[in-house]
Amino acid sequence: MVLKDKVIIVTGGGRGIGKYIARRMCEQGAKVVICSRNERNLEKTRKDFEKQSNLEALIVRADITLKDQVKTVIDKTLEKWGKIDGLVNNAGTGGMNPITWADDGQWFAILETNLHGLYFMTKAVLGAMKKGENGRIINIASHLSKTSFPCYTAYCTAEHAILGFTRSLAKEVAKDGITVNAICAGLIDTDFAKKRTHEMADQLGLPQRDYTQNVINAVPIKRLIDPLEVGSLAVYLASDQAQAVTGQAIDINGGILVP
Amino acid sequence: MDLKDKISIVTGGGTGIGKAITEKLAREGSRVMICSRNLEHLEKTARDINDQVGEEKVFPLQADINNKEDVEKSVEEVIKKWGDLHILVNNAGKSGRVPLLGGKDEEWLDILDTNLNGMYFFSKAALRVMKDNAGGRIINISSVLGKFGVSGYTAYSASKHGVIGFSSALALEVAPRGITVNSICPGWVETQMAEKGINETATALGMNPEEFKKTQISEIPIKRFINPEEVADLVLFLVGEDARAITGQAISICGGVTQ
Repeated sequence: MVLKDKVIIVTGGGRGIGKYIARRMCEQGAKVVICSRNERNLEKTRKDFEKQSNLEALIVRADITLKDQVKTVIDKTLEKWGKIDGLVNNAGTGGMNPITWADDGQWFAILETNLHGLYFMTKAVLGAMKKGENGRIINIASHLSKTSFPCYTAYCTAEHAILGFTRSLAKEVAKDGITVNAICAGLIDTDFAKKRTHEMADQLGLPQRDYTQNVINAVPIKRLIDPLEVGSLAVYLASDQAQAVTGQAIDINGGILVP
Repeated sequence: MDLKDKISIVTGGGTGIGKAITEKLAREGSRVMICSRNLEHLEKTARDINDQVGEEKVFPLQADINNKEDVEKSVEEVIKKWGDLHILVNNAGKSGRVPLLGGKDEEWLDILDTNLNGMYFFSKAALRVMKDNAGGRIINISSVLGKFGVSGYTAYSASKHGVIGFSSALALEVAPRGITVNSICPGWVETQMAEKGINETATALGMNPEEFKKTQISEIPIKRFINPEEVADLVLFLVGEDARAITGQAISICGGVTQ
């Protein structure tokens, strides 16, 4: 129980990676706050967690791109548990935005959630986190934080930017005993990744199933990554044992991108 | 973490970081063979840890890791004694300030031999006996000097950059066997080797070692050296089942010095 009684907020925790990070953290004794803007996903998560009596989570509906709703998350967390030890900035959106598209909506939507939302949440949490108490900020980024893919300028921009934010903030708050790290997740077995892969197949004019198999074949370990594996890495980074790991962008990608 | 059925080798396991790694692996249940040239250190470490865990978990074996025959014999010994091998930690290493012009060629050769050939011989011998898809792990201890250089340390820096190159290439080579290969890049760790480095560099700069250590600490965002136990905790995470998708990576544990 390396996270016993630690209060940790997971954004975008209604599905995918966020949900599994929340689960792994609960299993290690953390008191987890899950927020998401999607009511239906949250309801499903609530039911999943209720089924397992040892998992305790506070579920808050919030759009983290809106400052007043970010404040609600912080207020509700403090009201229930009186402190905040960690934040996992997992909420994110992605998708294609070829530069030739007339519409700018996708560009703004991706930057707003992946960067501004992360910024608002981090700022608000740091305001509530005690100094010298092993505070933790964990940002979920991507292998596209370190490499690129055609027609993904918005997503690549946002994910690269998360690393710049992580590295700079790590130095800023190190004196307070707070660490800031990013996890660069490769191809994870989630609906989000499935949708991205299908989109890329369409873009390249290939059948979705063939393309998905090609993608898996290109991963040295020949499989997608289980979101629980990302959860375990997040648990390690959130634990007191990882106090000296800060400013890092750690890859969990089955070898698709190595130094 | 349950490492009850795991068999490990830690090179240079008698002192410093290697000793801390050996202790953590043994406490989690693994049987560990430790080797180095200095049998006295090895025997003391083995005795201390075996006394603590109340079981004969650690087995000392004298070996010159630069010597291929010695290395092959060590791995044979492990197989003879325990019948299997799951985890190899290439930790043995040599440091030293060797200015390019003033330094002796023997010093360059010694550092490169120990840090690269030792790792190469051990990895090769271990990979011959490690079973496929049985959670095989190779962890190479590099350094933050595997990511940047420091004046007077061309040999050490070259060797530690080499460790990262070796790890990422080997990771791809053995990924089909379900074996992961990663390197860990510690910053300043509280060890005798670091103390020697502090003294050497301080002398070269005409500074008092304590004063020099203070300036080094002031440049570390978390304002302290790393404990060997913290590096060992990262090793424990990487040998775990949930780290099976992390491969080919070079993970820094440095208090935010390198990013």
